[in-house]
Amino acid sequence: MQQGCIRTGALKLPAALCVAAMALAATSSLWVPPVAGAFVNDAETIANALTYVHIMLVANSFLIVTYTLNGVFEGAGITWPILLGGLASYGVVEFPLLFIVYIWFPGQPDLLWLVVALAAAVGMLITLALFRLGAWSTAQKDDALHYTL
Amino acid sequence: MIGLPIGLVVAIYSLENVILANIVLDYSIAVSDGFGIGAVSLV
Repeated sequence: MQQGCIRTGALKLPAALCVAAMALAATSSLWVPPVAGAFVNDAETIANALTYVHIMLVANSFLIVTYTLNGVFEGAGITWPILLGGLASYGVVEFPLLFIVYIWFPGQPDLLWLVVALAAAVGMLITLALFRLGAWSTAQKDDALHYTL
Repeated sequence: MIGLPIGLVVAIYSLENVILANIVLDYSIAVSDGFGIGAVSLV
């Protein structure tokens, strides 16, 4: 494997998934109400479902990038960048913000989903930064054989 | 030890699920729709 490089073909599926998620998010007002309406009748609940799906599809676009790069790390036999990204996005960003929302903005589920999306974006940026550093690629040449399951 | 970071990340993911579920269920406005789905209504 070339340092810091992955095959462009490996990027086509996650890129397509990101486009699909964005397309679903852009059209969510068309398909979410009928789907949610099949389970509940309350209009406000359906509106909440629409907001949730809308925000989460955007968050999932970030997660697709993160998980794709996590797969690259795993393939190289290096998993500490995955843990680092998880600790930073969840431990530093998401969990404290969820606590703040819970304490100071109770009863607003939309804020919870926005926090999740924000953490996903931060996690993606951290993972991208770690990937671009390239240290994981050179490290695995010497260390990969010493790792055990 | 390649699996240790992955195991910790999975634990973090699970912790996220527990936190989110408990926050939503702690809202007094949380209701059940009778189908096992915890629907949230602001009514």
